[in-house]
Amino acid sequence: MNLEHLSSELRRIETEVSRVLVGQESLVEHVLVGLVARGHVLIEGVPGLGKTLLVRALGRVLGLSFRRIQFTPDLMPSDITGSTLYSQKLGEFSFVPGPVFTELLLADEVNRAPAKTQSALLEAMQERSVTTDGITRPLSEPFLVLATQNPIESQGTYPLPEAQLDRFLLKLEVGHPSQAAEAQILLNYVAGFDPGELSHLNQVSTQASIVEMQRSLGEIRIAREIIDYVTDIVRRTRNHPSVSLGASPRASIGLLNVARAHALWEGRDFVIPDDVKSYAHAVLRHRLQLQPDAELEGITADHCVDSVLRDAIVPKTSA
Amino acid sequence: MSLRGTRLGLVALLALGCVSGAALAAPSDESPAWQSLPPATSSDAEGAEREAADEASDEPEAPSNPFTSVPADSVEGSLSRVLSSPDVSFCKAEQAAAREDSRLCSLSRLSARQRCPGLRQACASKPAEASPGSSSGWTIRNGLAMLGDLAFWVVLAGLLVVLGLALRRVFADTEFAPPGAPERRSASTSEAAPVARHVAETDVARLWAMAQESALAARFEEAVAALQGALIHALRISGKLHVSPAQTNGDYLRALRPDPTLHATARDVFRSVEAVQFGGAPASGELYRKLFERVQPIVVRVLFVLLLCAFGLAQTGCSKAFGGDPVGGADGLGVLTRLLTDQHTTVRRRVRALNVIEPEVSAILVVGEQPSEAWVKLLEFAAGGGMLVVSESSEDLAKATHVHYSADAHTGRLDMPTGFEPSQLELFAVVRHSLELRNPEDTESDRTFAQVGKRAYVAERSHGAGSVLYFGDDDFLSNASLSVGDNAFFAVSLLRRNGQVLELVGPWTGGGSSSTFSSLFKAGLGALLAQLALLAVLFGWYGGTAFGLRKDPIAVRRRAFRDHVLALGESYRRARATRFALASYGSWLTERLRERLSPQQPIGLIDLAGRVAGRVDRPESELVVLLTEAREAQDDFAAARSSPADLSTLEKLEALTVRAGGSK
Repeated sequence: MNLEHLSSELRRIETEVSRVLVGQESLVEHVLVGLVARGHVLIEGVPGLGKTLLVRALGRVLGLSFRRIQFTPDLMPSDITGSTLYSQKLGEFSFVPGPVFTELLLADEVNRAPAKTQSALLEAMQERSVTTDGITRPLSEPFLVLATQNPIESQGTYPLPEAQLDRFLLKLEVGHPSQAAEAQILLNYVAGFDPGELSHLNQVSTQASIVEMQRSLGEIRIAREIIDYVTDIVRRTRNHPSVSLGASPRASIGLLNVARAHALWEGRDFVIPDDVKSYAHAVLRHRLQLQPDAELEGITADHCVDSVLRDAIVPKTSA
Repeated sequence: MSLRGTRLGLVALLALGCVSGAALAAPSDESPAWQSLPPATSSDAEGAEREAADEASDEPEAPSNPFTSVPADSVEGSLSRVLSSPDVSFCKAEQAAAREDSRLCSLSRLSARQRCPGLRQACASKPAEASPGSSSGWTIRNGLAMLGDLAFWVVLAGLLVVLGLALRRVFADTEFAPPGAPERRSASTSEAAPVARHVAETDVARLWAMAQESALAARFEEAVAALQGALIHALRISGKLHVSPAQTNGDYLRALRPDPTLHATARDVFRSVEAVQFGGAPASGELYRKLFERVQPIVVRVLFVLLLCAFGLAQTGCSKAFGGDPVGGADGLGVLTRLLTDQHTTVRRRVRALNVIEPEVSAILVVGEQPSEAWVKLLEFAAGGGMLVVSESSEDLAKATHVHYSADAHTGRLDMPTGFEPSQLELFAVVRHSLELRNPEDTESDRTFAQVGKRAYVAERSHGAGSVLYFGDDDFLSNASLSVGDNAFFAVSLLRRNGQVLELVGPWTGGGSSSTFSSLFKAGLGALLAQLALLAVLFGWYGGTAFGLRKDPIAVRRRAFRDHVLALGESYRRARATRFALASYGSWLTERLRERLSPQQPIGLIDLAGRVAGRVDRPESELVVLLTEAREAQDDFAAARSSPADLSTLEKLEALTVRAGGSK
């Protein structure tokens, strides 16, 4: 395993994507870390921040196949997974794969579809396979679902159930770019940038390379103290007074994998407490169910994670 | 003795130590007017009582021969006991200081009746090295004084620590309060999640020493961790970092971004140490040396500053509290006071100013120089019938009584004039001054008790209704002098005030403070206060105008249920679902109105509107419209478009329910 090589490749991907997605370097880093950690990412943000552009650019730069599903109230599960159709020409039933059979899947406005349709993604996200008509079909490797949702609108939306939320490794909140970044976006448009045309982006990675990165995570060293730190953080979410339902063991595993992926991103072959702490919000915020009175008082999941991190003692600290 | 009793004893011991230590350096106006000098021991007191019982109860007030009124045996017995007591240090042969006192040695050679044989022996021998255990002149009193002083500094240090912790908490709250959200946890979180006790070394100097010690022992993993700790805490002391157990190295690096040089140094150190701690990389001497070179300039700079601070603070600890032994030393007055106490004379040291002298005081012994205002008061006291005892010249005194001190030089026996027979006492002194009794207005009132040749050495002159008793030198009343010949009997006979009070007036008199600040400065704490003030100013300058400002407590306000409903309605409006809100909440309110106004049987909207109108005094037609709108919303909320009017209707309905008696 050549960690430096893999790390520099990740950096090159970030640099290339940032050519079109200006001012969202942190978002790109988080999505790449999620990809390497074999997770799925839920992106929450108002429209117009470049969420779709990010996924398209990633597909182009990584050399992965890319599909997009616009979730609507009338979307059916078979519209996602695919269905078996009778071919009059061949005189037999044949399976027509849905858009889920891809490597990068953008589930746009995922909360606009009813729960039944959303659940169609459950198996795909967790088992990385799709079962139709009793036949289980594996999905390709890598497989990354990037789902987006709008935090403002609530009419005609269907909040994701806890089970579905738990399948997402990371939940990222996309903010508005800085003034300088926004000015650069305008300059790019003035210079003729077309978000629909990304052919000028270079492919700097391959499917095999991404898979190698995912497999190399197993070789990232994790000290026992780090594992204790992770479990301490997750356990504290369960005992927090503002939280009615804390994070699950799946969250612990997710946090550990993300910490490993971040160590790889940094070019290290070992995990440090910073890897855990810097991704705690993204891994835990969508897994916490707050007490009703805490919600009314304006407390958010991020505040609870902040509070947990303030109390959890960092291993081998000098303080 | 019970535990509580032991504690009380310790507290009393500490309090006594405090009184005899630093606290006595600056008595305030609130302190007593005097300090009782050491009383006689119990055996002394018993002996004195026995002897006093032998005396006639109606003793004449002014005997013509003062040396016949006191039993010589009694004084001799008292003197032996006093000189043998452990806190009369000058009499001990091993006292190095005493051996170097030429006057003391001169006195010791004058008479065969020297009651300190060890002293004579010591004066005769060549000065030798004192043993470590005895050279300090250790006494119980000194020990208590040291204990009191120590307790004082411990309390002061504790206060500083509390202040530091309070400041730390203020800044910690500022730094970590989640923006825009009420704080709502901590204690319960800690209770819920058991936390392992975490103790880490935070002292830079100790961490630095630990690093070097570990490196010398080839424990390089511990050494580099200690180096990292020293770096972090050095940066904390210099105000660059806020350190807490929940902070990671990444947090520290982010805090150091404004200083690129420090950031680069810290990043290199952290990376290397993390590789050892979490990456299993070997810690070698080479790595230690490399990190040492990076960390050393930062840590040493901080240690130097700390050293300067410590040095500066140490200056304030210097005092003269233990500089001498004013009681048991050769120059002290301890022997005289104890002998007088044995003779039923209360001797006390006057602390309060001489503005008002209490009536029970019949004699005042003046020690050292006094200001003119004090002499006025003292002479008024003598003129009023008291006895003033002086042993130094003073212009004010000479002007008032015409008694002058003139230089003299004689070492040996003093003569007693005629008239005191059969009392022939052996008096010895190192004479430096004798007395000139000029312009006697009433020569019969002058009495000379001791002479140097033809010159008076101890004499008394009347002043108004009282008198002034002069001693040629203050040394005559000192401990050393009283140990020789009949000096003690002589002095006690003249100064004894049976059942009355003799006060010692000296430099300590009038030392009471008019304010707390004055008291602190007199206690030698002025320099410390000034240093603290300077530190506060520097810290304020460093911290900016926010330093010391009061912070509003974070208000955790419980919203009323109505506020929640309004907020919910606003959310529905944003989501263009106000019709749905009207349908749900309007239905609920309508049911509450029905329950309140017709609990027994269900009624229609028209009847309900009529009953509500009767209760709230509103037109029934208006209420029918309102209730009907709420009802219609239940039927068409899915189809009809939402509008702000829905919320308005909802608000009216809610107000109506409140007026009709509430929703409960």
